[in-house]
Amino acid sequence: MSKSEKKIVLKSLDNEAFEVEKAVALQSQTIWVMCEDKCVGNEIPLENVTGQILAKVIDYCKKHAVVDGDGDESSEELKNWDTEFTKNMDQSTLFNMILAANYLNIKSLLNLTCQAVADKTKTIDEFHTFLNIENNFTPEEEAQICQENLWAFDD
Amino acid sequence: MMSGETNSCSIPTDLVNDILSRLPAKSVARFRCVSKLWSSILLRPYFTELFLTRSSARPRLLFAVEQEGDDWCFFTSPQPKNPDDEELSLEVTADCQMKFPGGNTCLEFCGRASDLIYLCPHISEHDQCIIICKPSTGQFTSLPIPKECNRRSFWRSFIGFDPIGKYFKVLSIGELDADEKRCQYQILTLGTGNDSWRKIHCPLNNFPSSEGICISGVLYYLADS
Repeated sequence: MSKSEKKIVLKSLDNEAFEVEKAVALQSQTIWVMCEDKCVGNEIPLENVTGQILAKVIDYCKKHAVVDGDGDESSEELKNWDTEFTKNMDQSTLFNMILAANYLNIKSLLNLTCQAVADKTKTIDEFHTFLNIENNFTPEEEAQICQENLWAFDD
Repeated sequence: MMSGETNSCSIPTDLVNDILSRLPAKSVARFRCVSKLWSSILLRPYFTELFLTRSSARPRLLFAVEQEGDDWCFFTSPQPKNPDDEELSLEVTADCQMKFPGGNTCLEFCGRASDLIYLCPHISEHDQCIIICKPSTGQFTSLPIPKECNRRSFWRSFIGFDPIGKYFKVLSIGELDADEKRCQYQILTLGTGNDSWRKIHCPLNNFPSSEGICISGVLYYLADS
């Protein structure tokens, strides 16, 4: 395999191009299938992911590709890296990371980001904002459903 | 999208299910009050199953302390990876405190199934009852003492989960006649709204001599026949 074949270019929604090692990109099942089917050239357009998010996804894949390759780093270190990785992400970044991980089909990243949201979402208001949903209960209905789940509100 | 804005597109329902199944039970119950759609999604058996599968993958240790006057305190702690570690310190959280009705009934631990704890009175008198409680939510329910299990008769009972019908069931075995070793078997199914015991026939007359354990819907215990 020549050197150029080992590299792959990922192009984001806003036309930002990232050249990465094939081994890094292939952690995405979606990209893996695309390459396997030979339906793309060396440049893969990813129409659902912005450059800002794609850069982070690539960071994650690089870290995990290295570890899977040579096994130098312990799983403990990798876990710490993962924690740091999501620690300072705001809700909207996490939201887009989840969508990207889902679209690119990277199971471990999806798992990590879903867990991070679960750890950060504590109140009903945070849940409303995160899912962008309206409360469509009437005040009476809300009072009744809260009454049924009363044990959850007594701190 | 800039941070601080509300999210304009939405996450597929199965991903939200996934996220919510990682939350503590208390948060899930709170989020039932979020919207009509989410209230119904979170009450579906599919979600319950997902939630239970995920939470059973991270088991916790449960400590139950009985105080005077049938006040029970429940504490939990994450299960240590290496229990032999001498430096081991457990981070214990007080989950709930419960006081059961009936005053000084001297309840004793009779078994557990999933996150339900089953407590029976030492001696069965008329006004006493069996308690089934759920320390994770602080809820409990009381059940009648099985029929004909009066003060003199000796009885034992077990709780288990039937994965096919998806019901918790309680089996009670009472020794009707100590000389003849004749036993009576009764079942109570929880969550049906019907709090009555029904007698069942057991082809092998036996009385349990150990605690029981329920695995995949089958109850195991040692018995004298």
